[in-house]
Amino acid sequence: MKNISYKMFVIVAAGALALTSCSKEYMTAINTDDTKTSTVDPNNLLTTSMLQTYGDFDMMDTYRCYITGFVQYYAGGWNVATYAGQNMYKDDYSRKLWDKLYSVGIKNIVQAIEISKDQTNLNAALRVYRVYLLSQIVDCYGDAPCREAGKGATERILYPKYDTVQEAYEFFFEELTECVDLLGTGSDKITGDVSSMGGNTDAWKKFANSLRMRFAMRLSSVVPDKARKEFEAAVLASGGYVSTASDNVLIKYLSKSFTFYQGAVDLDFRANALSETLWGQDPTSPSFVCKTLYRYMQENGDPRLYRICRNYLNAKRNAAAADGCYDLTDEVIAWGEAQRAISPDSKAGIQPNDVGEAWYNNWPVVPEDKDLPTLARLVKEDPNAGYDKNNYPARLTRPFINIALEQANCPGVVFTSAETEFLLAEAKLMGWAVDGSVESHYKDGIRSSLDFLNANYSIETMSAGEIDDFVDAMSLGDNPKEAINLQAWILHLTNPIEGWANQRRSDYPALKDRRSVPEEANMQRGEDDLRIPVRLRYPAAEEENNNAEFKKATARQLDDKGVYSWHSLIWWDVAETHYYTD
Amino acid sequence: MTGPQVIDGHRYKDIINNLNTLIMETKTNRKMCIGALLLTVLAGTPAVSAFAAAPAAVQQQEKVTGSVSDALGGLMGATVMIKGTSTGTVTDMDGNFTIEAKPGDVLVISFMGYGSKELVVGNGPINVLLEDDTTLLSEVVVTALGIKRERKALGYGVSEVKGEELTKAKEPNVINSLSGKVAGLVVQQTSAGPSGSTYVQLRGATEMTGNNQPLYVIDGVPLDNTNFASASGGSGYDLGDGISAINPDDIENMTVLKGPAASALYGSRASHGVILITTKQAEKGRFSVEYNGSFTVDTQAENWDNIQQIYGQGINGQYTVDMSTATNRSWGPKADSYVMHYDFNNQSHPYKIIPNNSSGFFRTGFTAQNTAIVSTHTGNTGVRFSFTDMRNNDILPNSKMSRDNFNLRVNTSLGIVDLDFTANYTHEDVLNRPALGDSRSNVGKNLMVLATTFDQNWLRDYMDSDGNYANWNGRSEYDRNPYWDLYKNENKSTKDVFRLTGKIVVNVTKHFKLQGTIGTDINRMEFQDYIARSTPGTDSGKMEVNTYNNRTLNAELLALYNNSWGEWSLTGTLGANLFKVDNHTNLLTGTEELMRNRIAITNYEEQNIQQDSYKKQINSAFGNVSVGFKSTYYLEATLRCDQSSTLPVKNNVYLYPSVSGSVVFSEIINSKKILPYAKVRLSWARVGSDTDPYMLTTNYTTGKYGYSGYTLARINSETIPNPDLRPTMTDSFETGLEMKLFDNRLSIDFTYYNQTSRDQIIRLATTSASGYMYSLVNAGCIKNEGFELAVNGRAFDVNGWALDLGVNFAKNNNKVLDLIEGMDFMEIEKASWKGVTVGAMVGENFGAIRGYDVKRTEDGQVIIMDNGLPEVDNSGLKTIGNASWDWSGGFYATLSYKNFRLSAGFDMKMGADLYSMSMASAYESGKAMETVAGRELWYASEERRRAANMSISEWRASGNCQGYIAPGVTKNADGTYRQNDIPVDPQAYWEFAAANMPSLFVYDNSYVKCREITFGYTFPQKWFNNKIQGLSLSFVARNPFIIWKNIPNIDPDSAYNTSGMGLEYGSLPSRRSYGFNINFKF
Repeated sequence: MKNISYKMFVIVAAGALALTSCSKEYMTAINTDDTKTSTVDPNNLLTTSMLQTYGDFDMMDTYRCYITGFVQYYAGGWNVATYAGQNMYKDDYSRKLWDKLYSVGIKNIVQAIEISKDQTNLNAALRVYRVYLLSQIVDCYGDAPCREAGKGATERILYPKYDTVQEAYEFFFEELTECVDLLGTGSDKITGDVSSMGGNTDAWKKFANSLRMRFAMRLSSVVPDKARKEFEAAVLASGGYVSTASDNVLIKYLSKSFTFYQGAVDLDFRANALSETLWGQDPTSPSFVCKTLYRYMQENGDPRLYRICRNYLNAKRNAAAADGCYDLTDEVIAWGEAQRAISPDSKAGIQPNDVGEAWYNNWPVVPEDKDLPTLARLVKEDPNAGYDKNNYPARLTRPFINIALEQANCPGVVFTSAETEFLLAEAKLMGWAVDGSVESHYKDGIRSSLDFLNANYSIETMSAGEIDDFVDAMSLGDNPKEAINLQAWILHLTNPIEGWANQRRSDYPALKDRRSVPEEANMQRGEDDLRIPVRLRYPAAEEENNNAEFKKATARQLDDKGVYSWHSLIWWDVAETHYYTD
Repeated sequence: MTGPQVIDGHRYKDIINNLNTLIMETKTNRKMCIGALLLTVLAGTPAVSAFAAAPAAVQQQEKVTGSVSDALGGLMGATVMIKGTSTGTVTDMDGNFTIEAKPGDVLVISFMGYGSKELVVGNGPINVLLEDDTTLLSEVVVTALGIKRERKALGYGVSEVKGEELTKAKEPNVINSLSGKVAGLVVQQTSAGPSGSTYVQLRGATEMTGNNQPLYVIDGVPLDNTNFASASGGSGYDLGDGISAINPDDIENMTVLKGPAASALYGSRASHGVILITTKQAEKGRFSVEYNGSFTVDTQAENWDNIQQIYGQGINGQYTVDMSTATNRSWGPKADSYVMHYDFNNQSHPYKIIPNNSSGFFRTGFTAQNTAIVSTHTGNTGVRFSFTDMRNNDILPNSKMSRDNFNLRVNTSLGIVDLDFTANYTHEDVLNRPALGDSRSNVGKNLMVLATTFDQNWLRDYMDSDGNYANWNGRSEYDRNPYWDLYKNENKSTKDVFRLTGKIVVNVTKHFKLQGTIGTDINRMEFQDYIARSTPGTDSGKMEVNTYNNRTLNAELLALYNNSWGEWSLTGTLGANLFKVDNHTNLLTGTEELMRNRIAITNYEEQNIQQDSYKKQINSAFGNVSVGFKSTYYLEATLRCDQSSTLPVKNNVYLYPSVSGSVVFSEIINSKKILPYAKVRLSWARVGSDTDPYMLTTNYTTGKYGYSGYTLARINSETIPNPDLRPTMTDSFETGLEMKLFDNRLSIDFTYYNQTSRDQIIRLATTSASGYMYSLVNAGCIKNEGFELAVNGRAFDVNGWALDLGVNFAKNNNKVLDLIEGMDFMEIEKASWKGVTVGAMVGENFGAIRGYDVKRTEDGQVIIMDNGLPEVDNSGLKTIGNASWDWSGGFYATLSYKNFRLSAGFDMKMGADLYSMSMASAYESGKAMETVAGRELWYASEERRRAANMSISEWRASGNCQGYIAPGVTKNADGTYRQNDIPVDPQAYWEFAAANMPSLFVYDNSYVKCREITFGYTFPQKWFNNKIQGLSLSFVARNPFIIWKNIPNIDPDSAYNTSGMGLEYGSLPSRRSYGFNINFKF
């Protein structure tokens, strides 16, 4: 008995000791995730951040519901008609750009900057790209964390300070200036650059200088002297700027099938998510072109009109394949013309929606099967397929966005030479020290815009003659600022954040006055004040999660009624919006 | 407290019949008091006399008289039974009794608090003197570490549930049987049905971002209760939990340790309480074979039937073209039985209301459970083996599950060494776990908006001739054909769980023993979710296979000592524990299906794999000392030290104590008959908690998908790592009173507690501008305060009729005292698309439901805009409800007569709110009753307006517009308000309201439910010449009806996720089951 108890005592004592004492190393090893790593090549973080720019479907909620609607590119889709069109604020859609850009793109790039201090070229490129991403947030939301953004882990900043827009732009200029000097001085390679720049430091220098031009122009109304100084310096800065199509900064996306929200959860950024949004989750009614865009192109005889706007019979189309997406554009036009031949007031033909209208509002004149030969043929071939059911014939009178602009591998547009030309044109117009004439830059801009569309999208190519004729026909007219910025606006259709920012800054083109669009009885409305919002509201959660900074930021950005709202102008947006009414 | 007590000898015997007799005879008695009156009322006095009047007629027997007394004289209410029968009586006021018995019968005389005696009937009266038996009061309960202790020695509250309570109306998941049985224990099921998990909470949430569930310990070894996935915001399947693998037939008893004091010895894992499960061993000295079978028919319990029966499919008061769109909109014209052609199935049907449409979708299911148990015990060795087969066809078409459970237990003694081994294997197969919440595959969500005139039966044509999704509802990817989701997009899961435990006890001396326990859980699960090609939204098809490989190891060594010297007693424990978790998860994803109908991951154009791991280890040392004096005063102290791998090395060792004491003051009063047992207890404890692994440093991962030529890497975590984390500390204080009154017929257990968790490790919502959505910090303070009361008693016991009653009640206040500087609210869960969040709001109970509202006047009236609709108030989230229960309770009653037994259990929960997205969608889709108002007026007005060719604003200005007038006020030109008079389209109004006025859809989620009713008969053994030891048959009903609730159409137990936090969407109906149980033992 004694023996057993002694043995047991020893076992227990030894066991207790063994169970309770583990070395630091052992415990740390247990707390290490074998399926992850603690080190990374910062280039790989750059790749993810760049791809997210246009690759994050989640983020596109903000584009679809607000940005593209406010700037009157899209109308007719239910989302854009309701949220942007009826001034309906929905935090879930309006916060996405902020939340996703900060928590993926900016976070990873800030981390990459932190761990790439000895890779001079890469570090500079990362800093340039951070500036670009931050500018998207600042231009949409106003004052926002910049210098302290994304540093939750690196510097443990849980409550980043909101830089004012002015401070943010200061920061952008500083960073861009410094980085242009650093780019090319290192011996490291930028291997994670998934854009058309291909990691070339010269291309990055051009990109940085061009961004500086864009930002300078943005400040041209609010601080003209500063704007001029920065713009002129950027034009002369070493490395030059994006001046030819080969200098364009475009993110490269792959021809992968769309994965929508689930893909966004998995951070599947390989396909162009703006295309994905245009294509639509509800494939039978994807995105429609707003009457404003349609009208400007139509008025100017713009050859891009039917390259951008098409009429589709979408009865069989689905999210995966364009089979059964019948292009009836020519037939719809012909039908309209035929109807007008009979009755000149007929609205038949392509009938775009105004801002605030869903495609089924303001019911169109609907073709009969016999009016559209393809429709008649399809119905005859397969009467049960429903080609003339489900209001498809009504829907197809609305101009859809060309599916060529909805492809997974469409480039993510960051900067184009066409934009540079329009910036130079306006700079020259203001008397800033740049080469060339206002008109030459303007015309070069238009030409580059058309070339850009030809080169990057599988549209029916605009011939050289067509382009020449159009460029020749376009003149600066008596309001060159309007002419230039109207063209910039059309150019930015596939870069909607820039399109919206530049429209607000320049106040051109004049937008349709939302208040003049007749009320639809069955549409909800977010507020009585139907002026077009001029910024996005901060995510509601900011009030809790960064309370002190949120309070300060909202207190200094009041609208004309003295409250913080989406009618509060962004600092660089000093003038009034121009409206047109028909 | 436990559930009903059966006639089982000593406890609670025979109190009320005396009292009743007393009352009826209006005699005064030394033992009568208000409590007796209360019980009489509870029992229903009129019934008593009827029962009392029914004499038991036994032939060829004679009257035997006698008396029972104790040292003080005649003992009223002692039980006199004829051994081996259910014939018996009780003594009267003076201790006398009369019974019909044959000479040679053995009488068993018993009385709570006294030793029982057996006497053979001879000639002449039988006089018995009973003696106090203190051992009978030494009720033994299983406490922390599996140590059996006297209840009176405990300074904290303990509740027990007997195994037999769990097998009466068998639930597929045994833990559901606890509903309403234990004060302060809240059981919440999702609408996932039998394959789903159950969320259990004791005394409210103590952690803001933890799982808050108790620890299950089975025969001393903690169970891996991993909930592989629970339905929440985005994802949609409830993959069940670990506890569901436990077979109720194997359970001897469950002990619920509620507060940290009770569980201080289990450490971090037990900071939300512990449920100890003791399983059955082979019965000593016998061989037995037992069969338990139960079969229930399961039907839909709640109908989605509180809907308008006037208007049919359509929008704006009109049919839709071809009736193939707007199939989920009931904004059409009045249902007039006009025969319409439906393009969807190319058939014609009258346009008429289909009453109770969605109920037609659900079928009658069944649950069959068959258990065989073989048990033998010879010499020093016992072997018990049980096998259970459970099969269930759920009420959802094409869904079923089966579970086989093998359990072996061997225990043996070799001299001073006792050995005990268990091996348990569970295999579970489930076809079509229901998708829940926001999931597009949630059939409930899709059915509940189906137009009133669109028969769900038509949707059985879910596939076209090519095998593709039949074009329905405009191929909406949000509202898919539910039949397609169940028949084509099948999901399957398989689970294998091994549990092995071994225990060795060395009884070194009479006072000292050593015990070693080792146990492991190996849990492997595969879940395959297949989305067929052509499914709207996933046109190219997709398949996901989740494989979970979980392993836990628990090893423990204990040294136990107990001794007594005179009036002093001492028990002490010293121990060490190692706990290790090693989980690995692989997620295989296939996108773009190649060959049709080949359901294999290789059949996809692109295949990806994602790996995750979860590892942690906790090393602990602990000890406790308990001192008793005069069996009256007890004092206990514990101390535990943990070392957790999840915390930074500098903070990973933490120590926490507890102190508790009790005074058994009935020993001081020493009046056994009035107050046989009474105890006050007091305890204070602190328990430390760790966190999840890998939260201390930044980790990187590669993207799930490949991009040729590039590597997509990113920071893995959405939570800012924190290298300075400290353990969470929860302090609790508890005091309680336990009493047994009136000769033990009434027992009362009252507890007051308060519990404060400070410096919690919170996954704090953080501005995304920091780069992260969350940060891990030590912050916040949450306080739980409440009381619990359980009263159990025998209301009467007359001539074989006995009624046992019990009630329990728990009130918990779950206040968020503090978050972090500048932060008032932290989001925990969110209803996507609706902008409604649930979380912690400082100063409010945990579970504040917050959402946007519309603009209102100072006195709260809705301000209506000139288009007849309210204006959204964007100024911030407002609290619109709270998801915490104010109080919960349970009630049971058991009536027995001879071998018959009827019992019912009820469960009530009061005062929590629920934001019902289902109801919001009922309004949005035009199905709610209230959406009928104003339709006729509006449609007629619109017709006139079109005829007048006016715009809507012109029409309104003309004063001719009619329609729905929303409640609220309208602004006059001078800034004052008038009662709203602007007509609006009711459809536009309710669509607006569903999207922007969440407060309209917050419902009081209170309910009173009947959880189970059983009616059973135990066949007398003599019928079978004692060859069969037991045969009993019972009819059972589980969840037979909801007595009262406040929310239309859905079951209040329909949490959106398993944490049950105030959100609900697309709940499937709950299941009601009827059937029988048979138990057979020989």
